[in-house]
Amino acid sequence: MKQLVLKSLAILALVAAIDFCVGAVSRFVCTHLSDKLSQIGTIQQTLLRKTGDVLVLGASCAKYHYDPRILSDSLGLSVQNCGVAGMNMIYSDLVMQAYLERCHPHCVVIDVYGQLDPNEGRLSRIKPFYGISRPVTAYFNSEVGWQQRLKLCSRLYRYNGTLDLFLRHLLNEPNTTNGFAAKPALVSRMDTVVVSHLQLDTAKVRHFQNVVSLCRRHEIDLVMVLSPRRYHDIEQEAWIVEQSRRYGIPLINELHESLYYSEDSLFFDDSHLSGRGAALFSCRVASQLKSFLSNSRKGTR
Amino acid sequence: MVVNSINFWLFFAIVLIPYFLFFKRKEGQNLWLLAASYIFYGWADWKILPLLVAVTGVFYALGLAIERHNHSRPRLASQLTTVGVVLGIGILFYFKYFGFFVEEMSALFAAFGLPHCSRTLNIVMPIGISFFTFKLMGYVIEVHRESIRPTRDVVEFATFIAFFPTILSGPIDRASTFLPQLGQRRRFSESDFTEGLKRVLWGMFLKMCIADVISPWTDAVFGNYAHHNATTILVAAVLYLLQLYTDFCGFSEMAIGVAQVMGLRVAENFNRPFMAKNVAEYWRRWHISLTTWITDYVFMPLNVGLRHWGKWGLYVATLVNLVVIGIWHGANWTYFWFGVYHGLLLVATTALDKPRKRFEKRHRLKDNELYAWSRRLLTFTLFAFGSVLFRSASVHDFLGTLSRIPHGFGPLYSEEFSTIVVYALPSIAILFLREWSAEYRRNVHFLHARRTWVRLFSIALLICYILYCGQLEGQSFIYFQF
Repeated sequence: MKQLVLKSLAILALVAAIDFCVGAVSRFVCTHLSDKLSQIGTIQQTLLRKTGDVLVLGASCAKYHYDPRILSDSLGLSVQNCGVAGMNMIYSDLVMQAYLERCHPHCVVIDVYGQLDPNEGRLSRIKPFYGISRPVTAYFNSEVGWQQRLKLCSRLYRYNGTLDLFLRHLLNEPNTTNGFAAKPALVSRMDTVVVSHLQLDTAKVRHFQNVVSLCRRHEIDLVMVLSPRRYHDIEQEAWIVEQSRRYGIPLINELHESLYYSEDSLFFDDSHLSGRGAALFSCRVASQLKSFLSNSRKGTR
Repeated sequence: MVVNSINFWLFFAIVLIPYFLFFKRKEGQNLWLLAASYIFYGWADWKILPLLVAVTGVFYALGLAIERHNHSRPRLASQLTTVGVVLGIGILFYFKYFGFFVEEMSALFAAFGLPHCSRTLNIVMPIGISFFTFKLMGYVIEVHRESIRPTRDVVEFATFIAFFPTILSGPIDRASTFLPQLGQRRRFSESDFTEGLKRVLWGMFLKMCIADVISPWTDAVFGNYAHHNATTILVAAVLYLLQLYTDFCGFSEMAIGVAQVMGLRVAENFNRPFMAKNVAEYWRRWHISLTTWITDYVFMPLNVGLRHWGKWGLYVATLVNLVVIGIWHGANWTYFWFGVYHGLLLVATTALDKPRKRFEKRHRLKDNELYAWSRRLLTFTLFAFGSVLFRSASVHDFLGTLSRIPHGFGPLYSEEFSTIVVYALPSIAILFLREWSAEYRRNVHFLHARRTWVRLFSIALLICYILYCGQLEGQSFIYFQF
């Protein structure tokens, strides 16, 4: 029995030592990533480094639709695209909090569609920033279950699955587009599909409300946008329109704009625009955003 | 409660400590184990728990009645055994196949323009039903054959049926080997404890570092097969076979390991199937507890019954055997054709056995390693093809998947494939190294190294590897659905 206890302690000590070493190396890599368009690179830059006058929050639609160069030229402000494919409203809220610790943006553009589903998505990809980014740490400490918190004590668990993200980061292009990535054009014809099955995650709705209240508290203009898509849920659209009315948030609704649906090459797939589609979209959003912002400034004065 | 979750390990700790510390007699240990097993099963599906308790009671009584009449009234004993088998099959048929049967009959009637009911029966299949009904039926058959004496202790019998590590997904234990173990007090053994935990660790590695890493990619390919080329379909077929093996073998290793920690030995389920040189050998190494069960209770009686047909009798019995194995998996035509496919492969292997041996003798190939590995590769390929049938949701999907192959090769579907390259491929290499070393009796398996420090270091490394590279979010097991 004594031997068994000693061996168990030896294994535990070894695991703790490896955990510490691998964790330290991974933490170093995570905090010293160069500015590239990879997923982990974008998350790191968004949570820890970047600043901007206008922030674009959201998931894949944000990443592939909003070209900060076009928006910046039109608005005369620095624009940062913080969109990461597969993320949800919790991530947007954490990004917002992280930005407020570093700078004070003038405007936040949020692409809400699909961010409030019960689907977990790729939120676990922010685990490596537990203990590095204050909002991420606070989120895990307060909102996840005890099992998850227990697992997070292990650095190996925190950096689980990051090896391929680091490798992909090495192979990725430098970020010269402020977080925007253009998608190629659609190859085959796709029809528009309209469905009706709204499912809302109450936790994500709470985070959405937190983004709204943060913007109000810090006097930041918040604008909601509905991107064009070929597969859309009318109930979700109605919910977003309702929230816009309820909180008095300006809404740019490009969902039914026929310009996008006239040409197949403006789409990459049923939910995302191609590079050309994104350019058109960014131009249209920029002009509407400009008028919203000028109205807002007039109102403030 | 999945075996690879924190909840399970807390539950296991709560069961294990009093099991060895407070219960000094086998009766107490068995009762504690039975209570834990019912809580475990109820956690998964409490509504079905009364069914499990009721059938356990019925089969316990049947066992005693069969033994009482085995000599005095053999005809009645046979009839009681038949009742047991029919009851077992009936429960299985009702919960697992009845809905499918009604739907198929309805479709058939509709095809002939006859009146039919288009309603779907929503019968909820109890989790682990295929496993515990086979245990129950095996028990009454063995009692009737007088291979075992029925237990008088109802707690002991119920523990055998509901034993929590194996009730959800096997291995399918035999009363002849398991009940005698319950008939003795289990004492804590250091070697059982460490060996059991090593098996659990290995099972976790298989499940979390291979099966769960591969599954998102294969799901994406098979779920959307119409958009993929031959390269992607073929790679997915190979990866799915590896996923299926590591998922099920991973669970079996964990179940066997957990039982071993408690001082109980349960049946082995896998014996390095990828080292098999032909289909027959493969089936002797794959899901052993099921194949031996069906061989003993289906194949052997059938083979004896069809003896007068000569080799054709053997072929028919083989085919039926494999079809039963196929449809055991579920109510879907894909499982039926999966059985037929493997039955035909096995018949062909049996028929070609003599010519093959002559060929090997003539060309002195018996000890040729290159020849042995090419046979292993062929066997693996045949099973990978069969795994597509197993994975497909319907025969239509299977044919649709196959129809992509003539469309030609092209670039591999690369979405998230880097995860497989970075995490699954090194893990698969470790798996094959272990299987190869065990097959060739070369002691390079680090968990069982002779030197203590190598063993300890290997265990620590494997734990860290799982934590760093494994899928840790406790996904369910493929065989839970059966």
